[in-house]
Amino acid sequence: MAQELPLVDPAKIRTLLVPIGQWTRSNFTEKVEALQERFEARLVDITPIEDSHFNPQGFPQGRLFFDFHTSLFEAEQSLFLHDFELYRKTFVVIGLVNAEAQKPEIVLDRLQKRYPDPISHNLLYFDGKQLSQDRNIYCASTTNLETIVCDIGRDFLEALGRYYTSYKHVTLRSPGAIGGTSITKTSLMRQPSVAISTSASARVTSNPIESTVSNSIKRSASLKSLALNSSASSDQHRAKARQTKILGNFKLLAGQYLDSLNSFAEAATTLHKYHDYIWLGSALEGLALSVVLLTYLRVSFQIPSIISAICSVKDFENSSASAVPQRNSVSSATIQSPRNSLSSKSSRFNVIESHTVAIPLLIKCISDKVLHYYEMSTSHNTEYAPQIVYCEHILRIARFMAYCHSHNELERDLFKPSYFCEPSKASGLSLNGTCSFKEYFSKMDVCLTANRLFELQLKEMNIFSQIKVYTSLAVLYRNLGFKRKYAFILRILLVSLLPRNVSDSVVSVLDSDHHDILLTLIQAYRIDRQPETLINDAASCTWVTIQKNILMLAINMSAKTQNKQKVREFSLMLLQKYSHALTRSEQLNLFRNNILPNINDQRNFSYWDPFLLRRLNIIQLENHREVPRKRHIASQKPKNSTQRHSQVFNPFKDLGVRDLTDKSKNQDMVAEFLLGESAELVVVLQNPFKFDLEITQLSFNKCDEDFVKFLGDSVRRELPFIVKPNSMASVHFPVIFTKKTDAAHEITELQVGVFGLPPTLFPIVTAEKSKNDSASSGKRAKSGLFKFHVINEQPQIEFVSSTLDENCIMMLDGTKQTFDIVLRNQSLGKPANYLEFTHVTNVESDMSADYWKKLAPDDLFDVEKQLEWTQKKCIKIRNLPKEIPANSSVTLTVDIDASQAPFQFTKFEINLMYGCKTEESSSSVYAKSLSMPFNISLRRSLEVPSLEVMPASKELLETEGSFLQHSHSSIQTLDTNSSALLLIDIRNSWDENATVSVHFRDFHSNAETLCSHSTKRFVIPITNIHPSVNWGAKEIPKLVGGRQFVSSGLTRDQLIAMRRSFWCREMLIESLKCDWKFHNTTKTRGTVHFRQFLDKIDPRTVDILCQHRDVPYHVTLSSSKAKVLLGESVRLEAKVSTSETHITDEHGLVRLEFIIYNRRTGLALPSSNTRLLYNGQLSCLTSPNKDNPAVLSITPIDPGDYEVGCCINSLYFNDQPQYFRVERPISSILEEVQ
Amino acid sequence: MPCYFAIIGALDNPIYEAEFTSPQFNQFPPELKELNPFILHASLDILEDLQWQTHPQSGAGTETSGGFLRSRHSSSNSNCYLGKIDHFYGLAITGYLSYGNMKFVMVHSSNSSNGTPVPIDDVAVKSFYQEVHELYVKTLMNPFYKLNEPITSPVFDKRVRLLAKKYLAK
Repeated sequence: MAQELPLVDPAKIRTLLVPIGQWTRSNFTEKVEALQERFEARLVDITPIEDSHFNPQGFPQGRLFFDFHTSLFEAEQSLFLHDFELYRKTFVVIGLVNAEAQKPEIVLDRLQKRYPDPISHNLLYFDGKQLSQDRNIYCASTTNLETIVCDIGRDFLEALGRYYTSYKHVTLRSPGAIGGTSITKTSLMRQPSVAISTSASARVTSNPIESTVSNSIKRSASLKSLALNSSASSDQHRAKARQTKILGNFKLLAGQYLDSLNSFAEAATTLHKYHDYIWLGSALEGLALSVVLLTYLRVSFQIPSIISAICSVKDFENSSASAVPQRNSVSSATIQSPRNSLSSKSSRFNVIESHTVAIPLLIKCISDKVLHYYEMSTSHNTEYAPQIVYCEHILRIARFMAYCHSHNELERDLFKPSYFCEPSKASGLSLNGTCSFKEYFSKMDVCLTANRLFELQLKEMNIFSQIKVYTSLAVLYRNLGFKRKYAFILRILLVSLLPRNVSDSVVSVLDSDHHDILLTLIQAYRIDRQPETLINDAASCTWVTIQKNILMLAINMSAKTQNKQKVREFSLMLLQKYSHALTRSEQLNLFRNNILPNINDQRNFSYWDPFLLRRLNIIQLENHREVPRKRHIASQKPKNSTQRHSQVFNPFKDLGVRDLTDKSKNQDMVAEFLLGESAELVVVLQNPFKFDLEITQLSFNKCDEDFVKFLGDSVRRELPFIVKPNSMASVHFPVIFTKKTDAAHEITELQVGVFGLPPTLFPIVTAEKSKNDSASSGKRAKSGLFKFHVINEQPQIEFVSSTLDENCIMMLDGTKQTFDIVLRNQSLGKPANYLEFTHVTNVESDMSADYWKKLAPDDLFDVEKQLEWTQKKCIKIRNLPKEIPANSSVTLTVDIDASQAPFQFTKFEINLMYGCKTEESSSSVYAKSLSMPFNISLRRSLEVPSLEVMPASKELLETEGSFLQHSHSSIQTLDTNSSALLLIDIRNSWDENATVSVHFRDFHSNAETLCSHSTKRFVIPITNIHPSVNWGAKEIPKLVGGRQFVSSGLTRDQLIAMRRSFWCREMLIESLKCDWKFHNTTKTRGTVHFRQFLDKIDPRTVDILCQHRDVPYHVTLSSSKAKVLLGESVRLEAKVSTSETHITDEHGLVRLEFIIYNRRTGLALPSSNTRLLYNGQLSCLTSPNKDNPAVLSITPIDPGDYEVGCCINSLYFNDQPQYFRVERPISSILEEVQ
Repeated sequence: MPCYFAIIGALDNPIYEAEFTSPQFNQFPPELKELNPFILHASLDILEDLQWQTHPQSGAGTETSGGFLRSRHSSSNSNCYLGKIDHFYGLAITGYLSYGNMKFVMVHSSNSSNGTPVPIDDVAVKSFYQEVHELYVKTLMNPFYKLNEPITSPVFDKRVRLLAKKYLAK
């Protein structure tokens, strides 16, 4: 239906092609196209005719242009214009005949009767029959088409001659007068330019004249025979001029362009004179066309003087600097306003040759005038330009300008419909610059011209004219490459079709095309993008208001044509892509009225939201049995690679528990279900729309269905399920596993049916992707999956019973016990041939994982020693079975050794991991765990409340007899200097008497009875450690390796002290043994575990035990008396000797200092005091290994006990202090008594 | 007089839209309100055409410095203003092009409904565009604002409206 309005339209002969006989549509259109290709007939080729007016020999360069078309539709609409614009009439009818039985003459006769209006009737036979070469009957098979077109042309020219003679005596009336009120008058939105033009100084017209003119025109309309009026009135002149104009039109059709130019010029001059604006405009239009055609034929001519009279010559003079007016916002008005045409230029009424002017500019100039005169005519009642004439002229001139813009010169395609139009291939170089048509008009100018249409009330025209205007305008914009303008005009076109009660016939004509228009619109406004699948489309934003509007229009349009499928399609598009811009009621409307009713039409239609399924999960029912976990057996061997790097500290090795890496492991975990187990399927569905979403069907995919099925009719019970607007909802279904999977099975999609639509597969969509996420795939969303594994039946072991009462046991510290437990494999078919027993006590489990971080090395040793024991020794299962056969029981014997257990030991668990290995060599097994908890209460039996060490003195060794006995030698032989006494208190905390025997190396006590709740002290003489044993250099051992080295923060001295104390204690613990036996019926026996009773050894004890410390000097101190009276003096001698182990400078002097303590308080006396008088110096230099000792004489003046020590070089102290006692003389005591 | 103003991004997407109406004058009639985006969208074609003209016949009124593609030595941004680029019935459309190819377009409507094209006060409209351009450049400097995304800042909106009141209300 695309209407073409090329500038040369008025020069074309309207020719109707009619099919006669039997034609297929494609066949017919093919022939029509063949004819349309040959639309041109040169006058030179046409046989001359006698008619003086239209003899082709008169202007042999001329052409006939046929406009072949196949519908008369438009002709009816523009009947009232046939007098005014002759070319609108259909002049020629050609019947295209194929397989017609009737005789040609009869057919031709019928054709003439059917179409009486055209002046020339022809038949063109395509079926190759041999025909008599009759007039008006042609045969395409014998003659070529060009010749036929020429012959038809000749016939037309002859007929035209006859037709013109009949026209000669007709009074020519304006279309407004013919059509009456039904004709749409040109209605300008803006003020008509009359006001401006009247004010123009040079215009010859004045208002009074104009009024008389209009009056006279009215009269002339009523006059019947103008030509007979002999008086040369203006009416007569006007009528004559109109006749001349019509002649010009005829000449134009007949190809006599020079003649037509002259006729039009003559008519225009007269009409201009008598202000017959509408006819003047039309004459000028014809004149312009003649100029174009003459230019096309390269015939030189003179520009008629009327042109230079009404237009300013400057505007179209051929100069390279073409005077294109400056454009700005205001200036567009000046373009529209008429030139001061007849001003001073009147003096230059000289002849202008065609080659001196720029033809396009000339045409534009004339066209401006034409429009101006048409506008002027609108003030008249009848003599006005119909709007369609005005519009078509604008469109034609705009088309011409666009043509100039894309071409260098006038070419043959000027006559073709614009969709054949291609921009000229020849570049600007082919012509010598000046006459290239491209330069004259910019796209902007074309637009400005076309925009003049929008000063009219286009709405008031009839619908066919509107369609014509809009489509032409759209094509114009499309050819200019203005996609958006094109789309805009198409939209206006569709909108203008919508509201009116446009007859169905129009719509049906449009039907085939308007979907193309809609598609064009949808593309132009970027509605065709796919945000639901392409991430780039989703990320970029678009003009939603426009797009929504267009889609609404598309829906309405489709609804009008009752194309339900399209209605649904567009509604879906709107709902899917612009749901965020739609209100609730709009969505409901779309859904209820447009989509739901049309859903059932098509089978293969599915729900439109691809992200329906948001999550899928299968949950184990809580009351169900434990599901085995996969466990690797072979992993017990440490791998080589880890061993190799064990020396390299890896601070992240143990962080696994709270780490990210662990999380990812969890995610990867595969859910495992037993065969035949029932579980719960949870499906989360989304509804982004503002209406209820109804889920009517749900099923597993084919491949998933083998493994998992819905339980019973659960689906039927739950469905239909409603998802509320703008929400996500989860549905739960019981499912059952029906088949064992070999590996993990993945569910990625689910069959879902919505609103009773056939179910389709929906993938699980977990999250939206953002644009920058991963550019690799253009997919819109991240899809999820659910992995699961269905495994066979497994053995089931149960803890049947134990010999303990309620699994509780009470034990005495230091004893051992044994009990039995019974386990049973409940499974009827599967033996448990993989068994792994472990145990854990509360001592271990209560400990935090980083217990070792804060502990000092000696404490750590203690703690870990204890852990080692609870791990390895505390609980032992004696008769470990290899396999528990199906449906059978085994009895296990468990030993508990509480001899070294700490008192916080209150419970323990025996854990069993078991499973069924399918093969002996299989590396993994599905293992279940069984845990057997036991409580234990540990009672105190024998304890060691304290342990002391004191230096042994001769007196003690001799007097005391309660020592432990040495097995071989007597105590007396012990050297007092190198021995000490170990005092141990042992307490019986139990309710029964006990027999206790204590051992220390070779020493052992006799078995002694210790009463209940009583304490006994044992004294053990022990030999001091030899000085050469250097405990300070021996490290405290670490039981657990591979830990990060943490500086203990101890100084070297502290560390050495700690090591001494540690080894000292270890020595004691190792050597001390204590067995006991209760005097009860069961004769409970046990041992005392000293480690948990013994505190750390204090430094003083260490000093006693390890006397000979490593010092370079020894000082032997001696005093003359041990007891002195007040006033007597006592003499102290200090003898310094070097030790053998140290080699020192023999001659070096050492500084010796005496330090005197008050023995009672242990405080050192100040160097000057009131208790002792020194005779000599407290410090002196002396050389070691000399006979002369350092001597200090002291006279005490205060009684008391004193201790004297020595210090060498302020570093080393003597080992054995000297004591002396100062007493008052008895006489003084007596005096006091008295 | 009511105006409809939009900043159009590179993909023909509006990054900012505003309607300047004043209560004492006519508002946009509802049918025109719906049409405004379309009119504006259609005029982009012409704006793009003008964009590549080296010696445009346009040029904003008094400016003679050349088209949008001007010499690089010129430092003023006066060439960005393209003046009146289109009209549709009684509406006039003016355009302004930033160097980042952001199109500032405005539909001017007249108060009177007699269909005469609106007279455009080039100087005021140009000043309006230039100041909005400045605001836009400031928005661009926001590290959280991405090119071609809608401007949602209420401050921007407020300031543009203030500018409209200052330059366009007559």
